Amino acid sequence: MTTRLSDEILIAYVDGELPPEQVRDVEAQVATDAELAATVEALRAGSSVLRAAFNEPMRAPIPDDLTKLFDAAPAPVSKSPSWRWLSGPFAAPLAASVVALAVGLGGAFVFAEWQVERKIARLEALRSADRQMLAAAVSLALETHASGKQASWQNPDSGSTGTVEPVRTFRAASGQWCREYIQIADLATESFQLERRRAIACRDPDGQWQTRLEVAETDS
Amino acid sequence: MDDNIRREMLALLPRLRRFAFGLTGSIDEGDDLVQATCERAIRHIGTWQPGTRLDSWMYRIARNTYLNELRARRVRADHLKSVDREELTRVDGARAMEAHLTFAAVRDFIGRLPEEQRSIIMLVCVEGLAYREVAEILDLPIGTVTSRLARARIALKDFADSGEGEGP
Repeated sequence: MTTRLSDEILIAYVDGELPPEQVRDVEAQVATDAELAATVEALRAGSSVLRAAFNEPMRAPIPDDLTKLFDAAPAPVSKSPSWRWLSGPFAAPLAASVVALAVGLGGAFVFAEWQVERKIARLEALRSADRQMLAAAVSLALETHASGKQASWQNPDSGSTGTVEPVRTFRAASGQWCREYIQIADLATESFQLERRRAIACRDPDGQWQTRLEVAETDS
Repeated sequence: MDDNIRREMLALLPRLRRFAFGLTGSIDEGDDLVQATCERAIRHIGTWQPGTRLDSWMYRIARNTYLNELRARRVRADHLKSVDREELTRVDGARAMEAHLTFAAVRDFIGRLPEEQRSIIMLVCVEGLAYREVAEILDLPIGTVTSRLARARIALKDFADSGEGEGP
């Protein structure tokens, strides 16, 4: 008999995540091994029980508070003027069909691709603006804030916010002044993933704060 | 916001509510989470990358918002923690005895899993996402997803087994 299948393989099999050749192998083993078959059965039962236990929202009506959010959704403020003429409910299809008439369907496809690339470029710009604001807040906090005093920043264009709090000041062996700080950022461009970092920065003779050590802090 | 995106988001609401129910363990708390998630998604639709999946993006916002809330709550309730936990196990023990395999007991069980396992088992077993999609949503290597999923699935299986064998 071949080696016993691991739980992870069996679970991947139940979830349809195994490549076909491995599926055949697992099925052959499960067919001749009652204990494996029982485990597969129990894993499937576990999933169905779980789906049933949390199924209520799938049948229940959606609360008005939630659907209301979508009635009054404000149009996003477009910052770049060259982009504005393309916004609005009809602008994109209209522009797309004009292009389609002029250069055929291939052209429309290229146009849609171009639109996507414009949006991605805009997202990159927001990301980099976030990073710059964050760096500026760190410099400001380290230079002017006492330990325990928070500096906060926000980027209204992206919706990202953050705080920087120096926690300790000390003199390094080199004679440089160094500060430990905690930096928390709620980044809209990263789906609001909260970033929490503890770092140490030291001040160069020219007044620039250089980060020497940075540790991402996670929970528990 | 584009009408197509609005419609797509509305169509995602039942699934988002189910996921939030799984994370928080209560429909009401879940709806608060969905509310916060949608507000953020609508306000910041510009940060969604077109061409990527809207559902994954919203699951991701929901989960991150939930994590932020958990952290805030942990800070507030830190000093009560030890007392709370004792209370919880005592009540759970009694409750598990009388209603071992009811849906409420299953939800209870999911609520006691570590968050990192709870999100994964919900996304895979209930929301039906592929491992690769879950890894992207949670920013984890796929190997971490499969091993945490295995832990949660085996625990669920054992919980169901013990429930069945324990009856009066």
